[in-house]
This record gives sequence, structure tokens and C-alpha cells, in this order.
Amino acid sequence: MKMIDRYVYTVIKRLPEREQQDVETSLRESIDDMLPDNYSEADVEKTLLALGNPAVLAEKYREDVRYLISPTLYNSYISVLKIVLTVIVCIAPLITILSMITSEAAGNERNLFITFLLQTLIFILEAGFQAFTWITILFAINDRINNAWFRWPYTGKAWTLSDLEDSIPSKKNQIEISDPIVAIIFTLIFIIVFGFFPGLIGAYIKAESGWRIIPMFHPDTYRQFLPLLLASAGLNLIVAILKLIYQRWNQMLAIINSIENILSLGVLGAILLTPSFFNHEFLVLIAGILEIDLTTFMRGWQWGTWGIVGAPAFLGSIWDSITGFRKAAR
Amino acid sequence: MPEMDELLAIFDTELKRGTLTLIVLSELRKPQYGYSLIQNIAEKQVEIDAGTLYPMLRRLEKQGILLSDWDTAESRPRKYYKLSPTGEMLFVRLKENWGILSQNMNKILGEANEND
Repeated sequence: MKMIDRYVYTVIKRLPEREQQDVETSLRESIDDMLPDNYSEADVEKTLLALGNPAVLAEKYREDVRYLISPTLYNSYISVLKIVLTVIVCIAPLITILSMITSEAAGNERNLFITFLLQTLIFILEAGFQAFTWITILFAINDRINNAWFRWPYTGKAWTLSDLEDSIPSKKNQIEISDPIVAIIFTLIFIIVFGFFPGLIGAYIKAESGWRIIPMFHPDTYRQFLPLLLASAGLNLIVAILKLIYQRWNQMLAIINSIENILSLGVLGAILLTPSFFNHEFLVLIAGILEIDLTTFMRGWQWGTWGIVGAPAFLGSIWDSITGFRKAAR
Repeated sequence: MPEMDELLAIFDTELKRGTLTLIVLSELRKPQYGYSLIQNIAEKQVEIDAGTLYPMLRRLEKQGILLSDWDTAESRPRKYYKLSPTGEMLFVRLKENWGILSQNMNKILGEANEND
């Protein structure tokens, strides 16, 4: 009976392949069961109408989970997506500029702006889809593992009142969501520029064939410091992510935040105490531009770096650490 | 806001969902095939459509609550369902629970009547 075949096909094509055979057998039995002996075309139509819309029937036969991301995780999923996409959009222009500077083909100046816009858009689309795909896959796997540990913050044991968080976010202890997001964006920019393109930080001198860059940092010394810089940036990212999770200060967060501040200060201090960190050629160049003799300039440079970079960083870090502890105590 | 009829349909479906299983378990203390089950239930003024019943029978069988057997004695083979020993125990317990539930519900809804 062609009509029955068409009906059964419409039902089972909506089901996972491994269930199709089984449901088909079962459904055909049911249809047989409903039909009278020596049935006519009209009987078949009546029976199929009684079984109703094939799509609805398929849903009733379905056994597996019907969602990719379960309602329990959906909210976290959406907020992670929003945050990651925001970060991607914010760092896209910088990545584009860097890739345009380093690419061999120097474009026509008039097209430069259009190229920039296009490449930024392409980067946002590509990175956006990548992020979307991976976040979705991770959340979907997480959902299917169904491990109690992932049902953070609950641990799978019987729930008790002590599992509640110590305090809820209030005006006094809450962390504005924009704070860690801005931190993540700037840390990523730092990692990209200082991790991958340190040679681009420097003085740009017009040469016959385009621009010549005199790097600010001495490549060899810089390379020794790089692991420390990246470790400090990494810890910064972790602190920002923890802030996004908790959305309020607590004792642990305040401690980790202070450790991060101390590490950053330590790295910065070590850099400022290492004169060979800066490229000699760069310093000579700046001194020349300012028309100051090198010894005087070097003294000024030492004071300048400590005063303009070191002192504000020191005060800022101390203030930030204290704020963390003060707000955690509220 | 949805119309009253829509609201009623949603809540009505929710209300009846569990009772339908109980009716089927009750009917299947004696072996029956699917279509006779539909007719017997319909005679008792309870609506059940084929599209709900057949998937339910299959699921209950998979859960070990029903057993099925082909009867080849008649003019054409029929698949008969009946309660498994587990199904029988489950039915007795569910019937008890239903008794308590309906008593309580009557009491609660009776109070609601008095207050009207």
C-alpha cells in the first residue's frame, strides 16, 4: 500500500537512524492492527487520519534528548557566547591592522581603509563562527557527559543549605560585568602584541622602501622576559574569568587578584631594573630626536619609566588589591 | 495572553497525561490487542487517540511493564499486550496512590466548593 509507505516514511525520517528500523516495524504493526480484514483504500485513509500528523507521531516515538544544549545550561551558554563574541568584535580591528602591517603586499593607500573594513568584517565572521561552533560543541558534550561535577556549583551529593553561596551580589561587593570583559579584551591585545608582534613596537622611520622599524625592546633580553609576561597575562585572564563566574568579590578571588597584581608588579619591576631590556639603537634615536646627550637622556629615561609606568602601576595594583579585600569583607 | 480555550487545552493535557497510563495498565490486566484497547477505552467515555496509544504501548513494553505475544489462531495474526509481573505490581501500587490522591483532591476541591 503506497499510502502507508509514504506515511511511515514521513514518520521515521524524523527519527535518529538507529531507531528508524524499530519504529517502522512497530508502526506498521500498529497500522495493521487498526485496519479491518480485507480493507479498502478508504479504510487506510481513515486509519492514517486517526494516527494523525506524522511529525507529532514521530515526537511520541522519539526516545533521545531533543536539545543540543539543555535548559539547565542554556543561560550560561548564551552569556558565554555573548562575552566571547563581544571580545572578538573588540579585538578584530587590532588583529586586522597587525596583519596588514606585517603582510608583504602593501596595498594602494586609497584602498587601505576599505581593505581594513573588509578584513575586520571577515575576521569577525570567521572568528565568530569558530567561537560559536566550539562553544556549542563544548556545551553539548558537557550536557551529554552529565557528570555531576559539571553541574557547577553542585557536587552531585544530596543538597544542603551550606551549598548556598556565602553571600549574594549586592551593590557593595558586586563586580560590574564590564570590568572583567574590558580586562579580557586588553589582556588579549597585550598577549597578541607583546607575544607575537613585539618587533612592531618601536619607532617608525620613513625609509626609501616604506617604513623602517626600530624596535623599542632588545630582542634577546625581551625573549627571556616573554614567559614571565605571558604568565602574568594568563593569570590576569583567569582572574577575569573568575570575576565573570562569581560576579562579586569573595575572599578567594581577592587573594588570587592580589597574587596576580604582585606578579605583574614583579615582572614590571624586573623589566625596569634591566637597562638592557630596551634596545640601545632605539634609545639613541629618541635622544637624537630630543637633541639631548645620551647620558642625560638615559638618566631621564630611568626616572621617566619609573615615574610614568612604574609608580602608577604600583599604586593602581595596591589600590585594586585592597579594594578586592575590602569588598569581599562586605 | 492566550485564549481561555488554549489555556484549558494545555492544562487539560497535563492533567490527563498520567491517568491515561493508569487506564491502559488497568485494561491490560487481561490480554488485548491495540485496536480493541482503543475501542474499550472509548466505550468508557475516555478519549484516547491511536497516535498516543501505540507509541505508549511500545514504550511500556520497552520499560518491561508490558509483555506482548502474537496470536496466530485467528484469521490474521494479532499482537496482544498484557501486564508483566512488574506491571501488575506497578498497577496495584499506582491504584493505591490514585485512591489517596483522588480522596485528597476531592477533599480540597470540596472545600473550594463550600467557599464559593
